[in-house]
Amino acid sequence: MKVASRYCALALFGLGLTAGGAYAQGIEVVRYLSQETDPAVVRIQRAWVDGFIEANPGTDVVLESAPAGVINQRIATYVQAGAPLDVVHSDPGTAARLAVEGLLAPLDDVVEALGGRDAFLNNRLLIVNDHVYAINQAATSPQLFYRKDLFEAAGIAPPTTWAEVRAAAKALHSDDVIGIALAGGENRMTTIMAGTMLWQNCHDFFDGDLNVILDHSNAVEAAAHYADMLQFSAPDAAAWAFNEPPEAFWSGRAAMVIHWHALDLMMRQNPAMVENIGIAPVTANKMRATQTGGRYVALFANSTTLETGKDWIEYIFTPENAADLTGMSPLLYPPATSAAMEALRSSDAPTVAAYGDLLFDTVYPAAVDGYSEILHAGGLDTETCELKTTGVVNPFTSVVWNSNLYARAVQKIAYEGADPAEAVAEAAKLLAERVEEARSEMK
Amino acid sequence: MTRDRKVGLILLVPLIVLVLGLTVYPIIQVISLAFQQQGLYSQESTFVGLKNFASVVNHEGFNRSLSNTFVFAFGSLALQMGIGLPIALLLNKEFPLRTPIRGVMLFSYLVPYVVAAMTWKFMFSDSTGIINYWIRWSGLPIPASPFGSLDWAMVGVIFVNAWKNFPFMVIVFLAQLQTIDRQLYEAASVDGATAWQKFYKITLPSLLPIMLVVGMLRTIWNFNNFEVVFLLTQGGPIGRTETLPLYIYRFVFGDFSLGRGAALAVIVFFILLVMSVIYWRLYERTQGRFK
Repeated sequence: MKVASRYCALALFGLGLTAGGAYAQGIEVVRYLSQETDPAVVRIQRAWVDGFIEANPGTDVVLESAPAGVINQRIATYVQAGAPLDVVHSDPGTAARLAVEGLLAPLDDVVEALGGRDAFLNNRLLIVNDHVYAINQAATSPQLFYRKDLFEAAGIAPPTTWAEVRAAAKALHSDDVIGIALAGGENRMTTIMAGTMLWQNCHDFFDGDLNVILDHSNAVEAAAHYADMLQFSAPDAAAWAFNEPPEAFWSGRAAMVIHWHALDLMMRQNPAMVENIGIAPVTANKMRATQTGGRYVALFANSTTLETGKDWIEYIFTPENAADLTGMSPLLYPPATSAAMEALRSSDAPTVAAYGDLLFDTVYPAAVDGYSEILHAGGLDTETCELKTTGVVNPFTSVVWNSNLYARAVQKIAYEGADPAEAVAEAAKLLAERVEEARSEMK
Repeated sequence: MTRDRKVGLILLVPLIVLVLGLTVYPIIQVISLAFQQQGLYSQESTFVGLKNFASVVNHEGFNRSLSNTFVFAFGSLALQMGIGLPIALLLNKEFPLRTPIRGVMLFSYLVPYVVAAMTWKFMFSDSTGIINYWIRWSGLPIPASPFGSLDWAMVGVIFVNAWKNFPFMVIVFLAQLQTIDRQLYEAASVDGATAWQKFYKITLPSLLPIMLVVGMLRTIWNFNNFEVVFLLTQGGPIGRTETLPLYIYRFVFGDFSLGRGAALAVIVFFILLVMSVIYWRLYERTQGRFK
């Protein structure tokens, strides 16, 4: 099997013709596997590559883009083939799993070069056994986007609680307008949205010891609330995932949507429409908590160019370069460091100027309420309904996101009329089984 | 061994290497993985005997996925044949512009799966879909977007799969229809046979062997189809369209378990093997009847 893996590795290696040519010339090549496919952002990444090569003679960076839904398969293919991977742009759940499995290289010296851990904002560093293994490049938090014209016409203020958002959705819902564009499919989007409501109801998927604690009345209440809200979403919401809610909002069909960066693309393509859109923090119930997720940059331990890989990561996180990315897509790429945040305040990027104070007063402070269940497992205190930092990295969040059992419970309640307690209990039981299977298969 | 035979064998070597490398080796590798516990991000594995198979068969969604797969595979097959056969019969007739129309009929078969699926999804979308709009406007008693409906999601994915692949049936049936001796129809007409009798007694028996062959091929392809269902519904809502290929995907990339994914792939392989044997027996019986 090892021989076979080597052949596969050789084949993958051979496919990298550009990289191969560079190797032949003795150039240190870093392969950057990015999940960014937005052409405008890819252009920025290409400019970084040019700048890096110019600043570091004898190096090259091969930019490889794979959409978010594909990048994990790509990473797995490399790992299974035994092919060396360099820098990857992974989702936090996968980054945590890779770090815990010992596949990533520590990035402590990169963090030091960027000003040390204190220079980074909250929830930006993935730390396992006191080593930094990944840096969050897109610590984006969901916001509530709403159409000002519809709210003003109905005389409704932006909602701040579950009861208010339900009342607004009900009042604005009609044959022509969807009250709130919520995904109801059995997928990661519904899982994350329902998970956010779970936190807002002062509960969590795991405790600090990584045991599944989903079978709880607060989880039942949150799932029932989500299912109830789906009646004010689209008739085909049962098939909706990440793209459909913002599409419904852009098309003018939805009065509200909860999303991370729904406006960034619209801001670039049709700034006039944005004037009619308001942004508010996501609603709260027993507590205010929202997801802070993002895209983590990590370096594989089996990289043949570890030092150059680290140099590349340091380069893309310098305040100037980070500001380019944030300037292009401010909602998706909030600054990772205090220095980058300051650099952004004086940015002349049109998108930053267009968002204005909203960015610094509403969007970025949302990260204060942001909960990274991956970096701080058990960080939601179910007794006091407060967030705390535990530093316990949870490698099983990817099981929650990929199995989508909580989303299925929501679907059963919403579309089959299932008893919420039974639906959630079943989801909790199955999730516990899946987590145990994953635990037994981890190194 | 003669010199010619030796040369022949040597010339076969590249082909044998290719078949071994591209077909036999992956099959052995998957069967081997099915008996091991191995994570997606790990190269280390442990032999676990039949544990993966037991885990897969006892998994909460296995029976549902299995029955969904049969419904999807045979539903698609029936619809593909149901659309393909009449069109092939029509295109076998002489009429103006027959040749360009035959070309146009191939269109959906030439469209990549991802384009076909996304186009239909877009047209049925509640936010932007034109068909969705027409259905809502006309008040037809069907959901304006079938992919989000518990009762209609499977119908929707079968329809898109059939739309994508019916030209394959048209091509094959048309080719076979053109081999039927015209004198058979003329003789039947002289004997006073009706159009239905001619179809039932001449056309259908002539098509039967090829129907079994394409039936087998399309059953295998439908059974293994991942793209259409994944792109349209991702197996939802509530598992209504979750088929075995999606289940394999879920094991491997959802649960990070190569072993269980491989075990399910082996199960699918044997189901298809059994179905292929049945088809082949039917084919032989049909051939025997016409000898």
